Amino acid sequence: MTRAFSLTVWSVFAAALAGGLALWAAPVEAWTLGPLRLDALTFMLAAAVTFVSGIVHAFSLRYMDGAKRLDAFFGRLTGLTLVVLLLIAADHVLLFALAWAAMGWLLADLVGHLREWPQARVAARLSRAWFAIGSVALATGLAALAMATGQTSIHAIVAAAPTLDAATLAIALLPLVLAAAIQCGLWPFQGWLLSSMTAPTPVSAFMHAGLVNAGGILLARFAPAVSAQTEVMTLVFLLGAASALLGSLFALVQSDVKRGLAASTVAQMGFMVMQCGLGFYAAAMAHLILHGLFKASLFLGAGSAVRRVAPAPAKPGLDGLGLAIAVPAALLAGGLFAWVSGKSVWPADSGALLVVFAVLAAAQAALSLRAWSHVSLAVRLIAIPSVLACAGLVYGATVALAETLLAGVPGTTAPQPIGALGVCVALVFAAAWLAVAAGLHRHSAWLYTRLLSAAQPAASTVTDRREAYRV
Amino acid sequence: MSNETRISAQIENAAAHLTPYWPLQTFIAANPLQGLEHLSFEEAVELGADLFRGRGYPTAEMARTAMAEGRIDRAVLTEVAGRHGRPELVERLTQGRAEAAAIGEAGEASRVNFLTIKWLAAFLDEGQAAWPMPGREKGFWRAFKTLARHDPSIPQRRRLAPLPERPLAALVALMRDVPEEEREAWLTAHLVALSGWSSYVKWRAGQSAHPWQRVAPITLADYLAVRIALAWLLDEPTPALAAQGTAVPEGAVWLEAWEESYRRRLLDELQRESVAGSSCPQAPSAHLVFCIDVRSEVFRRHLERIGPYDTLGFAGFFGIPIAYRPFGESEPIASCPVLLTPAHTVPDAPACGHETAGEAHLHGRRHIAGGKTLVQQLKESVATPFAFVEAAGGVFGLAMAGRTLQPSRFGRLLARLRDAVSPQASLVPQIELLPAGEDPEAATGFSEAERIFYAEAALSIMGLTRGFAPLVVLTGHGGATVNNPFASGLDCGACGGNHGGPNARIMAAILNDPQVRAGLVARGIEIPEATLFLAAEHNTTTDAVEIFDAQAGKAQHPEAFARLLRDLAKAQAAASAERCRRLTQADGDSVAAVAERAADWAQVRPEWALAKNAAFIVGHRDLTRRLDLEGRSFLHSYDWQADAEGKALEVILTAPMVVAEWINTQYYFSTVDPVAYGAGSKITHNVVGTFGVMQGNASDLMTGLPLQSVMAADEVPYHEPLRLMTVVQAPVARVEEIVRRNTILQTLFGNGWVALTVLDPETGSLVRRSRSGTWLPALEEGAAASPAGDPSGVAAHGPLEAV
Repeated sequence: MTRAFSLTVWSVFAAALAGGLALWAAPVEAWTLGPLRLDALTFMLAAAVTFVSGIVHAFSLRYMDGAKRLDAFFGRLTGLTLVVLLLIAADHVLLFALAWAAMGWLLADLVGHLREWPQARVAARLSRAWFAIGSVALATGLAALAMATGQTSIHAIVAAAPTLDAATLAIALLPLVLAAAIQCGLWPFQGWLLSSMTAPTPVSAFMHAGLVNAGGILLARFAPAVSAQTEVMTLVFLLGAASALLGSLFALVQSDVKRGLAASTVAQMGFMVMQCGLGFYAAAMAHLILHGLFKASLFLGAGSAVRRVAPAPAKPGLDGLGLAIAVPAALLAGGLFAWVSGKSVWPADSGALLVVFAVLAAAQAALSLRAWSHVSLAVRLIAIPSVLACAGLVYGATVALAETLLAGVPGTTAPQPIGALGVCVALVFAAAWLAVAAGLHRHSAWLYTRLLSAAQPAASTVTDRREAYRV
Repeated sequence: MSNETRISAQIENAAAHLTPYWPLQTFIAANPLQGLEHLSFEEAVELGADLFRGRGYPTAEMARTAMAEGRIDRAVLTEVAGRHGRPELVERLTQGRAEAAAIGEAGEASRVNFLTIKWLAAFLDEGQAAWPMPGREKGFWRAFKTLARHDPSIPQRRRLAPLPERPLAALVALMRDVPEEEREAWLTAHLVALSGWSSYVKWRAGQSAHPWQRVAPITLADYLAVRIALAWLLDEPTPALAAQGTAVPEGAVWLEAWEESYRRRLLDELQRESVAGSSCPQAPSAHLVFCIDVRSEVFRRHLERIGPYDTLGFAGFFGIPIAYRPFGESEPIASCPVLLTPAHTVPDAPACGHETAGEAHLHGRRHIAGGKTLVQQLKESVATPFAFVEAAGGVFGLAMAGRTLQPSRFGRLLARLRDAVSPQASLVPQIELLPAGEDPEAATGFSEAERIFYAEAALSIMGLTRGFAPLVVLTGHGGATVNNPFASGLDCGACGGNHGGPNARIMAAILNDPQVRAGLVARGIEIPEATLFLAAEHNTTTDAVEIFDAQAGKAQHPEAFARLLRDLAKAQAAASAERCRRLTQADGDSVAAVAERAADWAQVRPEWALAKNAAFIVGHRDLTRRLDLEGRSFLHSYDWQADAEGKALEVILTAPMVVAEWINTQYYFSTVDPVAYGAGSKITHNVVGTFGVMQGNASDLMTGLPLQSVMAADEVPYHEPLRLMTVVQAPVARVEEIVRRNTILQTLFGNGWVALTVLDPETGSLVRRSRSGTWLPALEEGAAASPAGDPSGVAAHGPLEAV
């Protein structure tokens, strides 16, 4: 029985790949099947979701061996996969809303899979309550859009949306943004995500690799509508940026592996939503898929967190030589990224912000590689720019590929003008990175305690008494 | 006596209820009721129910299954139940139905527990968080006091500031209103409220050499000061100890019937074997020494059936109390039982002529370490993880697919990559004494006299002092598993939860040393020049035995060595086939199937480890060679004729047997209560601080074994929860003398934690020692260890009667 579930998922994976290829060769942008519309985004996401789901199924067959209620577990896992597939293929708003609601319901069920464990039940209730709010918000927004445009299919709505007046569009889009923010666990809605570790490990893997992404998928599906409303775009951008920063900071102080991963998801989803807010929906889709692979792998491997670590003194701060090596290498990598992915640095549009993040990561990598004292300085001076140049090319190619694949999906790459706000956000991140790299944060007892407290799970989902835990 | 001294003593008394908990990096089995061993088993279990809210006996459901499977003998149950005056219990097992398990309720949530977990997990962290708690070097109480004033979830936190800086002084202030006579119980209640975390604090407070204790020092007083201050600020009542007071527990009857059923069968077989002639091969082509671990028994049995080999059982650290320093590491690893403190540090270094290869190996390791740091820093910093996942996500996805879909292949691929970057170098343990400058502590190795001493002690305790085969293989052991927080639980307990290979290599080097052999001659042990000691490691997950110094074996005894390799492979196949019968999902080629489990990151039961352990047999292999002991017995070799004074036996009973009791009680309690005494299910484990696991979002530190180590499925036990029975092949008077000399043995035997049976080779009698110290025939009805309800059994140290 359980193996049949697994087989189903892999079959859909194969079908998604084949379908994607067929669509690529076909002269159309999408195939419509009743309330479904299969476009490039559908196939790309379907392949990604079924790949992760297939692995999670295979993993669970061994990992969950001997656990109670296995059929219920696999039934929900497979059900969830199918519901997500429905969501990414849905074109009719009603189907989209129903799939969204079903997804929340099933996911909450899996968070509380261990039904005899009271804290797991509370965690499931908490998730369910938030998903219910998200589903109602989504339904409201969709209803408003449908009424305002007189359309019920998503592709027709988004085609008509830019003609709506700004206020109407904003009122219809805000609930959608709320639904997306809850689903992605964005600050200040991260509570349910940080309280969801009562779920068996494979569920967390699938949740962080597939289900939190639905928020991004929602924004991408409505990309032309969202892009048409500048204020909403700014809100999306800021919400994402705030989560990206706070989630990263939350992750710094976590001493248990799963909450550390969850905090990192808050950050990554924030970045992905920020990409949407900059108009790079295709890049955001690439990000959510690649982050999904990354995070699923880390959750499934969470048992490896027991290891011998020697206490190390806080690493020395930045020095002149470090920056002298890092900055040019990072600019080189950033430049190559911008060139390959076609992001405009001058005249700058919102794409420049993505380049800033590439440069910061490259600078961090350069500093880390510079510390390889077992390799001679001369070799490092050659190796660092070379390695980073390659990384910049790979990264740029990834984004370019996603944008090419999704070129047929309306509005998925729509760079925005960069405003003062964008420059500020770039500066904040650069400053935050510099401060952390230099170890400045370590002096603040206030910041530490605030972060530690803000990223706690809901107290009622913590097993405060050992005997309350039940298998 | 000052207030502080008094409170300090009260804390110590309160903490005596707790068993220190070792970090998972070096998993050490322990009796969760170790602090109550001075009580009889029955009293301890009852007090354990009050303190830890734990169940201490098998459930009716477990007993019913055992009965249905024939593991509880109906006749024995009838007899035991009758003796306890509870004959109706027999029917309960044959007719009753399973009671529905109560569904857990959250109860009144404890904010104090929630906040204690939050702060403790952050303070104790041993390298998980990128940003560790600031000010940890000042100790837990002071660090907490400094930071807590910024914690919005602590009400009235301003009131913390005026409290004293020293934890004991703070406790004096905080406990002003607690009457003197109630304080100990009051502190106990606070300690057991989160017994797992308290147990870890108790361990760490006693480890001044633990590197993290130096970085973040904590004492029980620190911990209690924080906890009690929180309770004061939150105005939360002191947690009440449950008073469940189990009546004449039916579980005790089932336990005894179950134990008796197993023991009588085993004793019957042993008695028959004791009078049968020797089954030892005339001139064995090799001696193989294995650890006493129950898993060795399976492999030894198969190997002996395949060829002319004689095997022995000895504690897997081979009697050397060492800290082993792997090549290129700075911190040595204690590789001996935790009862001992390492007395020597032994480093590994490249063999003569392999120095360049050693350098290349280290250089490659630095690349790997540097790569890990790079990934770590990109993942952890602010603003950098985003571009990183887009550039590297695909690699993670491929690795995830490989690990999940082709675990063995992926594991081999990784190993090949690692070897390509950092090629293996031939290493030799440095056993010679090597002073390191002025500091005598920094010296490594052994002096010649020490080497001779350890060699003699090991050989005489294992009873191998004459008739050496041309090859003597010292076989350490270790498990193989990935992505498993409890990995070190599969390793050698005698080596402190580490792989036993290094100890075997060091002992083999000592025994091959010409100076040592010359010294041994003077002590009456003559090792023929042709005899070669080899070191090996038994992989207990796959049953592969790897011989470390194969070149020497091939050179000196080519034929015998080639045959040994062949036979080890055959024994591996046979042992794997036996293993597959006990594991689910392992079908087809059994050697490949068990290898797949060892490499599989999704595997929660890579092997059964020491599950089903129930007996500790001390005696000659002749006693057990023809028996199939089903991997349930610790086997310690002992030659009663070569130990007239009983010195070797005393060591065996007070060291390896005590460790076996820790293991046995850990398995016992983790099975009868997987929540209070075990770590619960792995599927929702959350590793905290790199050293322990919590359940779900956060919880008590889950001590003990995970459910998957003792249960075949959530509600189906695999381990049979039986207390250990020790069987000694030696004259009764000698055993009695040793028991009288050692308080620990009087405690364990007198309080019913371990049962003692003696097979007296001089008289041929088989006798048991009752808890009161009387020797009774072992195989007659009613000869069981004193039953639970029998007051004479509870009186721990009754008058000892002469035999």
